[in-house]
Amino acid sequence: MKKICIYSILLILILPCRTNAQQNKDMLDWEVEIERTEGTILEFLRDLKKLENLSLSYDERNIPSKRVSIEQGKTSVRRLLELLFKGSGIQFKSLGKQIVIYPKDPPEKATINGKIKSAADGEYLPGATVYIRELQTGVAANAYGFYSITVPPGAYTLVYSFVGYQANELTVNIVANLSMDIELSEGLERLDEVVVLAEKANENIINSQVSSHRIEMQQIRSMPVLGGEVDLLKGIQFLPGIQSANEGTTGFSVRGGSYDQNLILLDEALVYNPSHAVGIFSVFNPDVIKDVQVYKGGIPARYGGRLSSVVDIKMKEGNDKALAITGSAGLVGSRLTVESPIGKNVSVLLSGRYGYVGQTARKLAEWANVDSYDQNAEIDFYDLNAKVNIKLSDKDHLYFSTYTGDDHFKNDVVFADNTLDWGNQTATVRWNRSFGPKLFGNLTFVYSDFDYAYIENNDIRNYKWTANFKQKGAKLDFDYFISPKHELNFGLAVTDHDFAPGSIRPNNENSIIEPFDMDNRQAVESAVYLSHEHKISPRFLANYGIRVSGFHNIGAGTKYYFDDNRETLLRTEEFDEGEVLNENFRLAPRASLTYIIDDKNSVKASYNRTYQYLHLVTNSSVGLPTDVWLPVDNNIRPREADQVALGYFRNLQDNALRFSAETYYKRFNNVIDYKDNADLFLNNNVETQIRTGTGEAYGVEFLLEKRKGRWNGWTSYTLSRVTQQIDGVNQGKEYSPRYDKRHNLSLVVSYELNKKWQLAANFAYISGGGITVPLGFYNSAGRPYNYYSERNAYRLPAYHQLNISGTYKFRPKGKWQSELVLGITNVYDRRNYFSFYVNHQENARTRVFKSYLFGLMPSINYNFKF
Amino acid sequence: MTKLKINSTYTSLLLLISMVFSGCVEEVSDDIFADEPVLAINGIITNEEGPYYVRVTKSNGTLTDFNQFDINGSSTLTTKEDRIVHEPVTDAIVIITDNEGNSDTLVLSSLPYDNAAQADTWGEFGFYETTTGILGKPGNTYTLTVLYEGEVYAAIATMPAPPPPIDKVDFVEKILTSGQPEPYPVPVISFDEPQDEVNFYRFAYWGFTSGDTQTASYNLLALLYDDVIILDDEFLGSRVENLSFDAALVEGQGLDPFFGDSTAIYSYALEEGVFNYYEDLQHQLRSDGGAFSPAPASPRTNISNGALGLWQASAVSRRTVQSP
Repeated sequence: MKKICIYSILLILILPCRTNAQQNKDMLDWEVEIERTEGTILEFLRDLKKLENLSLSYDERNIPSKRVSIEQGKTSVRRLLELLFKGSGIQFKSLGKQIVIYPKDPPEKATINGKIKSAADGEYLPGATVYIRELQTGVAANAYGFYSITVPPGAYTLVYSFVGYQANELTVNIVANLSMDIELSEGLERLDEVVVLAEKANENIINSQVSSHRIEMQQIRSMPVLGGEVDLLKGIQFLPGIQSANEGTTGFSVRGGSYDQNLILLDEALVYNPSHAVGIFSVFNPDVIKDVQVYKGGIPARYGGRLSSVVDIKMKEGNDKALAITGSAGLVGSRLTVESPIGKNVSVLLSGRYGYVGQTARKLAEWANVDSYDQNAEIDFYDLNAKVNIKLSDKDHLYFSTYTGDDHFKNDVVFADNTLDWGNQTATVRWNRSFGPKLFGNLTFVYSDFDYAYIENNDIRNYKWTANFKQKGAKLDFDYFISPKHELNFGLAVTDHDFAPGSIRPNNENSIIEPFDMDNRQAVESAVYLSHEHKISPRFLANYGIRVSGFHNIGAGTKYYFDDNRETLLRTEEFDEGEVLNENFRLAPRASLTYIIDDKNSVKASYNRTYQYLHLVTNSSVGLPTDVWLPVDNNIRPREADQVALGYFRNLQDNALRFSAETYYKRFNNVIDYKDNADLFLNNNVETQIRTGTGEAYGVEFLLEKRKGRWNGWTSYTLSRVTQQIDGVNQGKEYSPRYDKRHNLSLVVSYELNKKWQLAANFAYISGGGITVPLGFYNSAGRPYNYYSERNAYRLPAYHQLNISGTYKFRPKGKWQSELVLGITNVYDRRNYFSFYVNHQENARTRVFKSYLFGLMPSINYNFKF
Repeated sequence: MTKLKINSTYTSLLLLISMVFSGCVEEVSDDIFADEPVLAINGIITNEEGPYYVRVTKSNGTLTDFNQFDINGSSTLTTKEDRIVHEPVTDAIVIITDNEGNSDTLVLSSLPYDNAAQADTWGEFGFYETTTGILGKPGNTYTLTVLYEGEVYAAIATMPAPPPPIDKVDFVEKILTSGQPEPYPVPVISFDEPQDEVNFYRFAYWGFTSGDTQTASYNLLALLYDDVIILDDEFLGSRVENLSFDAALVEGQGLDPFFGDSTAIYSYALEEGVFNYYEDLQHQLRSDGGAFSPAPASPRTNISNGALGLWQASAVSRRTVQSP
């Protein structure tokens, strides 16, 4: 690609006063003595810089590469520079405490760009901001910490800031383009709990982003949680508009969307099934997560493929300053993370987590003498994360990151001899490059895989069922920072999907199970997008864009044609490898508008349309590892959603308190559900069991956050409703999905009692979800059978739960820092009902049960870092 | 429609999780159930000789043990009425009409019940029987009308052509599920399947002592026996060999024992709607309706006005063999 012309560069940093013998003199008049007599101009300049306290500012790219020779001996700085730059079109001057070397004829505009990093470990800080006080304008760094801002030449105060870090304020005389990487120091020297807000952090007021949350892992870490196992997906359920799809599990519903409508990305690779231990924990090891951005609305054009939300999770790059080891040991899992630089330009991160829920439960059962506990139960999981970050040059970075995790699940007590194994793998290779000061590009290759094996060892139904879903993709993304008023984001993506939804094999000769394979399917999803962040005036900001996506079902495969009721198969059509069975093209406009009332108040509105080409065929409301992902086809059309949202944002008490109120209305089309008495189990034509219709969701959300001081946390309240109407489901009558929960109140607090003790608590009150319950029994064909309420017509009692924890910090010993976290979940032992189910297993006897997942649960964890 | 009929694997995941953690399972008390009972109507007309039977009961909202004849065997219950779990409706008007203009108003059955301690007649369970007015013929359409407490419940069923005859019956010793851990003789049946038509079948068996006077006719037993196989023929070849009755079993359940010296194997031809009803019943046995299952629903009935149950017209084929 053609190299983009780069202006020569120049700046003046006015640094704090320094003491020096010659300090009263103009720096250009300082007497210096250089030993070198011959070399390039750059070599001379470097020699000069080595002299104590002589501050030179120049861009190496603009220094002519010619060789010069100079007589040895004492001379003035001015004289030396004159000799070096004679006839080169380069000039210099002394400005304050610095000598600035710059080309003649500075341009009308100059661009400052660079990366914003953490001083402690070299991690890039996505979303960190640069604010130019004099111009009252600023930009935020992109997802890779890259920023770029273009201004008329002049002297400016640049304020670099990021949540949790001390702001860095620099006065810069900008004469030409300037590359400047900035490091910010963390707010406090500590193990991560308190989130300190940088000065002037009213970013939430003045940006164009609506209906989204950026979450720092520190916030998630300080939340008390089941088993002490810090959990990202449970943490975000305390945010307004996000709630559990089913109580106590990691599946979540965003603004009335089902849990398969969430795009969960780990370093840009899709995670198909983010759950461990059938939904009790999520797969994200908290020690390797740097940053999480959740979009509930106003979804940027660069994301597509899911209807309701994006959870964009970024792994750390790995400490590039020093070896760092972090670890944790707890009742249900332990983890260890090693980060280190290798040489000057490479940093690596390796992390592992092992969950041993089964062993802990067995020991507890032994200790408590619980006979009913299955001593052979096996419930284990692990996660491995690795990342390599290679700095190829000042402009190029290469990253490789990978995740692999597996679960093993077996319990004989109530269900003889079955085992479930499942796992996710992801890999990302990303090359990012700054093509000059304004254009930042990213080329990414991603791979995701989810597979499972279910083994049933029952005497007559002895079989193994395996399934596999994968996708391979390439993406090209650009951020073009034209000026502070205009930023373009554009790119394209191609993803190849493979679906192997089910293959069943008998395990031995006695099995009555016949070998059976569901059709494998292939598809290609593609997209191009363009969005424009436009500061129309100091008060008006707009972001608008469009995403055009395509989805093609690709052979080899069979196309099934059904009658209008989708009950009877009329005919089939075979396609060869590479042939297109169906094609779809969709246009998804996205837009948001911000009106800044003043620096503490703003109003924002957004509209977005989203499409989804994959759907989850699931037997449950929880999200099982045995769920099957399938593509749209000629029978099931892409789902679509339109959402409008309106929000009011206000910061109080010098930005220490942030308040927001948002309201949204969402319409779904082609939303899916399973017909009454659906039979999904290994059904090759699952489209015969699926019905599509329309849905509607609306609600209002309030959030009050305090991110500063000894007390911090947030409280949120959501009032929401979601309904669906689907012919063939609930006899065609409107109904609410299970996750329709009217009220949702959350409270998350943490309190720094003193230097040693940190206390935290969270509380949630959520209206009960709708379930379908048996209303009674009748006799038919010699057995009692149930008749049921309308779908989800029965409301579970409200869910509420209080969790608390206390963290004790041990006195650091050298680099070794450690803490002990004691927690109690479900403090007042609330029985939050989770499911009603019917047991028909005893002959001619039917019983109905309700169950709850957890009573009061204590936990203990030891965390360390050195 | 390709379907592999095997049992749900999810039934107990929930229990399993509960046991791992400190969660718990509680049996639901009766109070969540509906106070108002719903009428349940189950009837069948076949091409065998009548009488034909229709049973009318009410649903209940209490949870009790009972056998397939709807009797609660608990010794604490003293009266016959208390022992019959589903309250019989004995004052309904039950009428069957056909498309030839025949009509039969059924009467409460006087067929003697063979355990006098429990009941004298099947009528006490809510069974009605035809008198003489009607005869089942393949191809005819039969309308069932039940009038009760001012409400009219109706259903229409058309009798399909007779199923292919079962030409072979064997008994194979099998170890079944936890219901019957010892080897047990399982009937296996064979028949020729006509390939040029769409058929739905239901198979059932029961034992009797040859020469005994039958206290209950097959037409009545057809409403009570649950060891059945239901099949659609889409993936059946022209010859079905050794179709085994244990395919009907649900996890944890055994087959009914044989009694007497003879076993009758019945094959019923079903309409698609009737097949769907039986399929929904089986689905209910396989799926617990909880958080790990699809949302449950009442079985798809062909009876109008909110009643539960099924009105079935079936041509039958029967083969009697010596019991194992």
